[in-house]
Amino acid sequence: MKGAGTLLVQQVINGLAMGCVYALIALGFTMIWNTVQTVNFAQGEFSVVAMFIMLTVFVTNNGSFWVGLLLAIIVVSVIAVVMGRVAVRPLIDKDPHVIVVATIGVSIILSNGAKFIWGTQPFYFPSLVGARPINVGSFLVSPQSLLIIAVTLVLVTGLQILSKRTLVGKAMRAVAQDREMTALLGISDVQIRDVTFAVSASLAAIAGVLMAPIVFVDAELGLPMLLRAFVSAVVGGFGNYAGALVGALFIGVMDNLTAFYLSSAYRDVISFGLLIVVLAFKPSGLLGRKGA
Amino acid sequence: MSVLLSALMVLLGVQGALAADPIKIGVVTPVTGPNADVGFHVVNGAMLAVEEINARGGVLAQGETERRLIELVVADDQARPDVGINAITKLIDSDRVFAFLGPDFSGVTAPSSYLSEEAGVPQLTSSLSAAITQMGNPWLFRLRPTDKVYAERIVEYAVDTLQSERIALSYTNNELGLSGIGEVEKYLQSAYGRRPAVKVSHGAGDRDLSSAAAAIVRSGADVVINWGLQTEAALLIRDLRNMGWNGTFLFQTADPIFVELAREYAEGVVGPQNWFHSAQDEQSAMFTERYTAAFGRLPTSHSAVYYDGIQLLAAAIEEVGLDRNKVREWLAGLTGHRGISGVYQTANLGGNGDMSLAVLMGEIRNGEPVEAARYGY
Repeated sequence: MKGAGTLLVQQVINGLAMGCVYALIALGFTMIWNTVQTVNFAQGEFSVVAMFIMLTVFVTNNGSFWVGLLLAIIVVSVIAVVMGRVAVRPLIDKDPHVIVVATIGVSIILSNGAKFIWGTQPFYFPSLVGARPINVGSFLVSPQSLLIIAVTLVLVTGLQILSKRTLVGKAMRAVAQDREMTALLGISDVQIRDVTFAVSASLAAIAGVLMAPIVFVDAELGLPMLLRAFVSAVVGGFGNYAGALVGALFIGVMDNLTAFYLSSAYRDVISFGLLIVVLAFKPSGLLGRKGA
Repeated sequence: MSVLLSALMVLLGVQGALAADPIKIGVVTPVTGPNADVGFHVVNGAMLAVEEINARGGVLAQGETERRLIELVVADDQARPDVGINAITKLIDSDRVFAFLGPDFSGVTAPSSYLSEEAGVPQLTSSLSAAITQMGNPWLFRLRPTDKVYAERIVEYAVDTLQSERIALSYTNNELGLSGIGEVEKYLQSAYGRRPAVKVSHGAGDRDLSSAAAAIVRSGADVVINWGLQTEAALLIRDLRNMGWNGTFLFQTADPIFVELAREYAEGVVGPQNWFHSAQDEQSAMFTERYTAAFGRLPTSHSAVYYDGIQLLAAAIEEVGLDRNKVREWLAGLTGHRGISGVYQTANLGGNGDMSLAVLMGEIRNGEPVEAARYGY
């Protein structure tokens, strides 16, 4: 029998890995919120579509992993850009709720499209770095979990650099702050929005590919992932990159510990209970600024 | 004279047509939608029996002098109750079937079972929920054992065969899982006076089962009885093995879907089914060969029970004729009719329409179930 401490640490590591996946989707939420001031509820389905593309290329047709990944990112980014132009742009000056409904519509189309093309049965997806756990000290750790954590760290760092150090990142922040002024400065808000949608969709695509070996590939996964990522972004502080990351890691670990010590039946109760508490007492989230 | 002759010819013609009329038997199952694969095996199991009977010239009903062919009428329920009710209504009212098989999904069978009772049409279902045959419908028969029977065999296998010291229970938190694990826990207590080492649940759609696996490992269980959905079961056994757990995993639906998802982790998993294609008897081997030759795929437990269902109805009609009430009585009075999927013995099982106690316990080896024990065959 394993010691309770060892199992606890393993649960925390598993929780961090799941949290990282939620974080990648939540970061996409944050980018779009910061640029378009709306919530994109199609983010979860972007992950699902990427999973299926990867499955088709890498597993079904024994193709290259990198070709599959690249194709998944490109296809999902194109879908996101088209969504931005067709479903979001015409509504940009309308009530933000209308745009939210439009993104929900896109998510329904993507979800049902995935079911239509690939069916409703879940599919096995092999581990990208070996299925068997590795010993780290006295702990057995899934190499896939370590990969997810490492990739997320790299992507978060890259996103930070993109946002703070590059012209595109600065333009994205400028569009978020004052669309008309940036237009007068010659920055096309349409192109910046395209870039935002493409980057956020790419994050969701990578999240889907990383997650596939852990959860299998299933057309039903979009909504549960979306909800967890949304709760993460709100708890961490909507519009705040660091908040999205911290919120997602917190939710991931809390989910696992809830299931370990209580029951998985209480996961949603605890997560959504926390969401209500945050919205009631600190609506700006754990790391959010007042008025954010 | 010519008028009389014409009338006589018309009458003869009508009589000839009646004698040649096929016997319509319905089958209601999902043919489209996400569960269409179940329907594939349901329809083809029934179809194989129909083809074999018709190849012999059809059925010679008691009291008739001429054989009739059987005509299979398929109705699509999409595994949805609303669609199922319409499909059965069509079979009874429009197609005027003599009897029908199905549905398979308990959620479709339960709300639609009043239709066969109202119309007085024999219905042979494969639904597992114990409640289906507790509703007092004398026209409804069940071709497979209930989840209660499966639960009892699993517990006996864990305690008597595996000599388990500590049994953990795990279940999907839905109607299927709650009902099944409830029966397991009840029987474990009543038959052996034992309580589970730990009882853990997971939601339908949960994709992170590591916490449930950790709780099982912590309990020191040497056997897990898991009752629920295939995807969650595949994730659970994977996480258990990756945590170094070496016990035996018993799962009520260790079918090809589970094996496909669990892959190498499915090895050694044991599960009950009413039948599987590698059953160790000559009848099963021959059925598997014929089915595979006809449809290009291995038969499932559904293929076998729906094959048996058609054969049972044909045997009933040959013995008591095309009288629905007499066929119902014949089905209710069965004491030991051997089919592909075990022995049908309605009269021995409480008289509420349950026909079978047949359970094959299969251990997954190289991705295929290998018979580990059999009951009710």
